[in-house]
Amino acid sequence: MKILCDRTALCEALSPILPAIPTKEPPKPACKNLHMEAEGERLILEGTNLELAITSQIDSVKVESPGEVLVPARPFYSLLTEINDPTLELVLEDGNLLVPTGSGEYRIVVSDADFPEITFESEAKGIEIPVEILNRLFQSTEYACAKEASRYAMNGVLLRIREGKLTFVGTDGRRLAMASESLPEVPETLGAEALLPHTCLGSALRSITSLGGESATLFFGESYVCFSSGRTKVSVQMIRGTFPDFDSVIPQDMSNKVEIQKSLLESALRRVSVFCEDMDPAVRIEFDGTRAVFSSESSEVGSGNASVDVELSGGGGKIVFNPRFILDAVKTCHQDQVHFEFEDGNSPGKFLLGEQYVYVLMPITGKT
Amino acid sequence: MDAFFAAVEQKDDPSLRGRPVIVGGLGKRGVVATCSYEARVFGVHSAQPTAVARRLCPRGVFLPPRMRRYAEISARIRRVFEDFSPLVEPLSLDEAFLDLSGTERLFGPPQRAALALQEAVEEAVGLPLSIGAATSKFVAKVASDLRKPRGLVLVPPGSERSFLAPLPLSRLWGAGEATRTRMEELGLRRIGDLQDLGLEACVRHLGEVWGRRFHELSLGRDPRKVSPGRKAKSIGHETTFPENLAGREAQLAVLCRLCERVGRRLRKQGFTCGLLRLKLRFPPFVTRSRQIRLPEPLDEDRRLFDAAKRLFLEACPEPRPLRLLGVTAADLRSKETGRQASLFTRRRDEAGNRLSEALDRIRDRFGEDSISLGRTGRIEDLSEEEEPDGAVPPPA
Repeated sequence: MKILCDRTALCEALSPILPAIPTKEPPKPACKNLHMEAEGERLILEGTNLELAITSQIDSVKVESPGEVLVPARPFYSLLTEINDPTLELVLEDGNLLVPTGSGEYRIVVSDADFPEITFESEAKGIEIPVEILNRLFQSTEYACAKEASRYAMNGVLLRIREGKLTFVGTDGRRLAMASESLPEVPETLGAEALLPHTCLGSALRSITSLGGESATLFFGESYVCFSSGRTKVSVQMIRGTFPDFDSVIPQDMSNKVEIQKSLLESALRRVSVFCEDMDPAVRIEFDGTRAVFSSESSEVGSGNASVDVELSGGGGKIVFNPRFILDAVKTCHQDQVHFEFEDGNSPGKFLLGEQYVYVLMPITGKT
Repeated sequence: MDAFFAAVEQKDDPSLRGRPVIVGGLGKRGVVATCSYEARVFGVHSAQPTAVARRLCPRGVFLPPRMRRYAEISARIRRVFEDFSPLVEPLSLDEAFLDLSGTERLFGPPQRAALALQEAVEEAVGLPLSIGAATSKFVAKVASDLRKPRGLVLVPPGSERSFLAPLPLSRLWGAGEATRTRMEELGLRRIGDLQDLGLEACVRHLGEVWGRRFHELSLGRDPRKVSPGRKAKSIGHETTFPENLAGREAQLAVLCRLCERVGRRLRKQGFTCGLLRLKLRFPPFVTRSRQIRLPEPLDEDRRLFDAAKRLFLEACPEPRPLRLLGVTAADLRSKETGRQASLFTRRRDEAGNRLSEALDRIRDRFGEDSISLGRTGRIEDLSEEEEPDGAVPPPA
């Protein structure tokens, strides 16, 4: 392989691939590497951690002799960003990739590992979605995913297209976050669903966002979900497993409805959290008339209560929550007001954190 | 309590009274847990290999421990203690510290209170008890061991020094073999020698911390208070197989039984656990332990077993014989702190909870071994484990 290409173009093509390159121990030694293939007038770049694969390409490359090569991705990128030459020559020679420049010559050891075969599914069924929406839906649901490896199907974010809406859902069995966005362009009859590992989905969106484009094309394949933008394609492997039946656990028509100012809610929770037991944080919230009183106590620190003005409709009542679970969600709320509904201390509480953003949280029961 | 396990056996089976009774592991690798005073005459003592005890006392009655029964009686004794003082610190199944200060008006001077306590325990459980009464935990413990069985030794305030002086150094808490050898090299034989040596020399020869500590103890000064707040930190069961246990199914069956026992005790004591630990010992004597953080705090047999089984299969992916298997639940949380409710109650979980509750009720009525899950195996040599906070070093 021998090629001549524009250095900036190469850097820009390589940078969005980096989120797929494992920083720690790779699942396969080959995954540390960047795969480059030169043919015709193109250079195709690929990287993968087996669950996530990213590819990009540069056109108008002068290919003197075609071929492919596997080089350590991160070191190669570091080198490229430090070179000033506008045009680069890359030559495969005696098991090394030679990079001769005006101010020095570099030899990169080429790996002979087997690079995994990557297939990127066809774009035929693609849906155009603003990148900002993808990121917002992800941030509104990712925190609710299970972090323990033991709940496999719950480690994922569910993506669903139905009735002209894109919905993301995350749950760890104690709380559930569901955020949707209407997509006017999408026909109501189109339906698709996929469960994606939340870390890979995060990396995929970082890659797509780094391209700077306004929108990305999303398509659901057989076993992958692909995002593409410009010359870059990102493919995320689906999780096989049954996501819990989440529609049925979102409660409707609850007797207590509360409007509370977001900043006051956060501040009250943070203050009484000081008095929570480390292992089992719990804050009691009592709604009565026009007030919510937050209280907590621990044997080591003491006790505290904070009261906040609210608008309540309903008879009020008491409910105990893990305050971290409320704060996680409220942090991603972009409105000034939080709408909260609950039935009693033994049933789930429902937070409305946006027009199409619902968060359901189970209480702590049996606390004396 | 005096020769507690053996005394319980003799109480439950009158034909054993007056005979040498030895309770312990009966397998090839078993050791003596307790023996009756009749057996001690033959030179049998606790921690001795059972095989040696059999040689010394061929006519002895050798019995496997019945921990459930001992725990049951221990709980009854504890309730008697609690009638005498709110400050009761259990040291083991058959030993406890009671702080009786401030109870003089109720129970009279120490001698009278101690006699009343002995009587109350004999009446409640029909077992002999020895008492040591003193101004500190250390002196009281030493005094209680001095005149067994049915002993009552009072060490009045001010007489601690003269009480301890003639006793051997092995009575000192925390003085292991190495320390005692060091003390003997210094020409020390009795606790009195340590008193005479003085603080400065003690520190010079035995180090700042331990020198000071032993000197204080030798004078009967022990600042530790009786603290009833010793919460269980873990609940575990382990079993040593008399013959190495091979075969995956058989091993899993024992694992299941251990999980049942752990679950049962968790529920009984009102705990859930956030951490499960597995202990494996392969022949000849290679011990491995593994632990897993549970996705949510648990107390239910089948889910404990699910987690234990996963650890087990990770720890020995290839079937191999086992010498010991143990399961411990740690990171215990009291159910009073509340329970994070679940959005999706899996039917299996709910059924599991109901099953555990039903089994508990049957065991409450008909005994611990009256019922168990289908796949469970028999466990012969069972030990219980409960790690208390800041455990007091056992007397040497």
